[in-house]
Amino acid sequence: MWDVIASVINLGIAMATPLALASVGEVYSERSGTINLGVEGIMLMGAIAAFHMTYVTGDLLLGYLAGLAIGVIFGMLFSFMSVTLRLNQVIAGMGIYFLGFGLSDFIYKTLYGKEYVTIQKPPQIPVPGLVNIPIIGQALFDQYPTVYLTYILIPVLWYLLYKSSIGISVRAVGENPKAADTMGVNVFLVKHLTIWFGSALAGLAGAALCLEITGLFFENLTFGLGFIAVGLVYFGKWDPMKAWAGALIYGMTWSISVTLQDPLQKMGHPEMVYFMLMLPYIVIIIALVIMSRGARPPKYLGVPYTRE
Amino acid sequence: MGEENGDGKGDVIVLMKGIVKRFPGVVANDHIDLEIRRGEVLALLGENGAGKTTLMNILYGLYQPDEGEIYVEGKRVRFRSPRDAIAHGIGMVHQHFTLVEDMTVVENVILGLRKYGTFPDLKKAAEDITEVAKGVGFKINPWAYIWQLSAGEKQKVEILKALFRKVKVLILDEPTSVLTPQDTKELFATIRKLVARGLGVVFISHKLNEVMEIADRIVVLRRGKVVGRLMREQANPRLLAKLMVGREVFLEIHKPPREPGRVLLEVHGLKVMGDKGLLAVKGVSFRIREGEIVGVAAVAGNGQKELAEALYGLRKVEEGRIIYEGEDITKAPISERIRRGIALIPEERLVYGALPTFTVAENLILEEVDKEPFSVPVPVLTPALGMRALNREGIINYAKKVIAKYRIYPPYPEYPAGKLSGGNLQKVMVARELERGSKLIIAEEPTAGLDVAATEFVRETLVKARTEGSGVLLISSDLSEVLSLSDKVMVMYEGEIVGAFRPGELSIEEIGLMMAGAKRMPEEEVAKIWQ
Repeated sequence: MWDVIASVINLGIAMATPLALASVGEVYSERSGTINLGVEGIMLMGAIAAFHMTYVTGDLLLGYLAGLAIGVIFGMLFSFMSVTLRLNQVIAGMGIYFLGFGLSDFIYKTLYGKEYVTIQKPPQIPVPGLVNIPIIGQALFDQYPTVYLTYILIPVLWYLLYKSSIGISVRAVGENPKAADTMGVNVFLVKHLTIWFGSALAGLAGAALCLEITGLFFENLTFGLGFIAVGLVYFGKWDPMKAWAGALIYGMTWSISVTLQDPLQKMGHPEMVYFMLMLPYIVIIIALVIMSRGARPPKYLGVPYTRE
Repeated sequence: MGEENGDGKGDVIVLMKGIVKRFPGVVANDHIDLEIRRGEVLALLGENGAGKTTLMNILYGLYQPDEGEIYVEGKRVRFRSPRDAIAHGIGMVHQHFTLVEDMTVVENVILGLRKYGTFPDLKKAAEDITEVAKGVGFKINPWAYIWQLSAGEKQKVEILKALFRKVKVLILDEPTSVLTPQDTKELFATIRKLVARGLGVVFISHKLNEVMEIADRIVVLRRGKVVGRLMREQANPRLLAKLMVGREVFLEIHKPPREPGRVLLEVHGLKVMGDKGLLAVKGVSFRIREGEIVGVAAVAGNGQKELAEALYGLRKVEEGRIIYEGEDITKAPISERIRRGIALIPEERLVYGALPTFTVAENLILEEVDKEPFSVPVPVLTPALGMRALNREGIINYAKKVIAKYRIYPPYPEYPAGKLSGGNLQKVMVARELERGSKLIIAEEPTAGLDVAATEFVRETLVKARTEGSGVLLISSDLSEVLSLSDKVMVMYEGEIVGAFRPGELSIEEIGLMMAGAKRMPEEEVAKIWQ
């Protein structure tokens, strides 16, 4: 019994990780006033880049880096549109989404045809010592590489946002860019960099999803996770730790429903399997509705900045 | 401070030479020379759109000049951003505060500073800030959030931000526009202290009495050019006004006596919610009669805006009644109130008042589009559906007349309203509301941001409407405006009427104390004035 619970938590955390990475990236982007709805598309591009790089080179690290890199490239494209050209962020973001959606599938079909090709997933790495703690060890410390990354990265990002001069500048740019500008903060640079950073994490999230969870690529691999990541920013009230908590709720629900699918099928409730597939989405929608009430976005979210 | 600087001339800190800045369609700064001296208050006086703020934004690195040179302590400089200006000891407090509301005082002050490193020790910073604050006599809680502060306190934070960066020149852009009389007094004392320390202070204003009070040297701008340079001793309000406007101005408002007529508006125990879901108007009662101006003296955010919106029907009434000409209109829709002759001149002109993409002519006839000669009946559609066809000629001819009467510039009926200057847009609003013969005029900050000529015009127009028998509710943060125009004044504090009097009955100090919530008149005394 305890073994099952530990493995459910283990899977839940693994599933929550791509979502958490994309979401905390978006937190930074939105904190400086830019809403990036293209996260889903960037995740798909990150996934295909990581998949192809790993398939060709056989090197997982290069795969992760390819996801990260394609994220930065798409972030540059998006920040050029939304910050430099001051285009409507919703429209620009949807453009990025459709581009990523179509392009990732096009690349896959061009390179691999209609076959499903699998790659060797990265191993789950046990942390010596910690893994021996009963239940917790198996749940938390026998995990994929990006899971360990989130353990360190997200608290660091929280600390940076609230306790560092970088965080003060980022928050000031989103709340009142003019105030930041008149105090000598380079508003445009802050906006560009946070968008690149957020997109890089989205690309890495796609890589994690593809390499660690699925081990293969197919059309629309992310099935809406990128949009859920944007929703989790509201759920978390623009706080990296709370956004992570939201991702974990989703991951756990998903893990429970996946684990229950087989027994339910065997017990003669095939219709419940579909319900279980739907469950994570229901839970996340309810969580969003409850937690997003009274959420106050950065005051200049969605407003392009100009001096004159 | 003449006596401290001998001949009244300290060393030049900043020299601006031949500054030119063009915006599409206008030359905002036309070859301006300016010097800012140590230990001196330099007043930059001019109407709105004269180019004062533009000039200082150039000095602060926000705008790049098209021509001209800037020297700081004899060295040629080029500022590409405020960071450069700050590094050269220039600080600026903008008219609209540039503070991050959702952050603390400490965070706002150290924003953009590198001195505390990547992980600033906020406790140390707070101590340093308190130290600087003490030096100028400010009492500020460094851990307070900006949204918790009053306008006067916010301004102190802004000044602290500059002082913390060890500025040599402090630019204050219309610093008194949001302050109570007491706050203003305090600010002037602070300015004196700073100047005594050797700072150069630039005081941007269009208020003559303030400039006369605080300035050592005055530079007057008109339409982007310097039209006068004088020492305070050489100046007087009349001369300054003439320089500013370019013609003789009558500073006194001519207000013929008028016996108030019958009661036009009666408000009983009115309660109205504010935007934050709390009561903003907490049970106010008053009357406005025909032929009188009732002024509201209050610091912004004390329920006066919500009161005006409730009277016009923009905001729901929670409790109480509004009686207009003997009939209850508490729940009447706006269209009915307009038809009955209630007019609103709103504060946020571009939000509630004008349609920026519509032309001046269209904005002028917005509320009367169903009337001749702006539209004419057409066969079938009019009898069947009540639809009418716009009559362009009628609209344009009417607009031309109004534009001439109100001296709206540029004088084109088909000019987009959103491109007008603040003063001219306000003239359009006033014209629209008054030209349809309104009986009750609710004027919210009718002269805020207007130049002297436009202000004079709007005030005259309101007094004329009152003399001809309209009732006016005048809400203004310019206390001298309220006192000089109104027949009766009520003071609002936190949604309540804490005092009511006739101008001249109370001193400015007493009024200021009531506005700050430190004093209130007994209710019976307040009620007496409405009898």
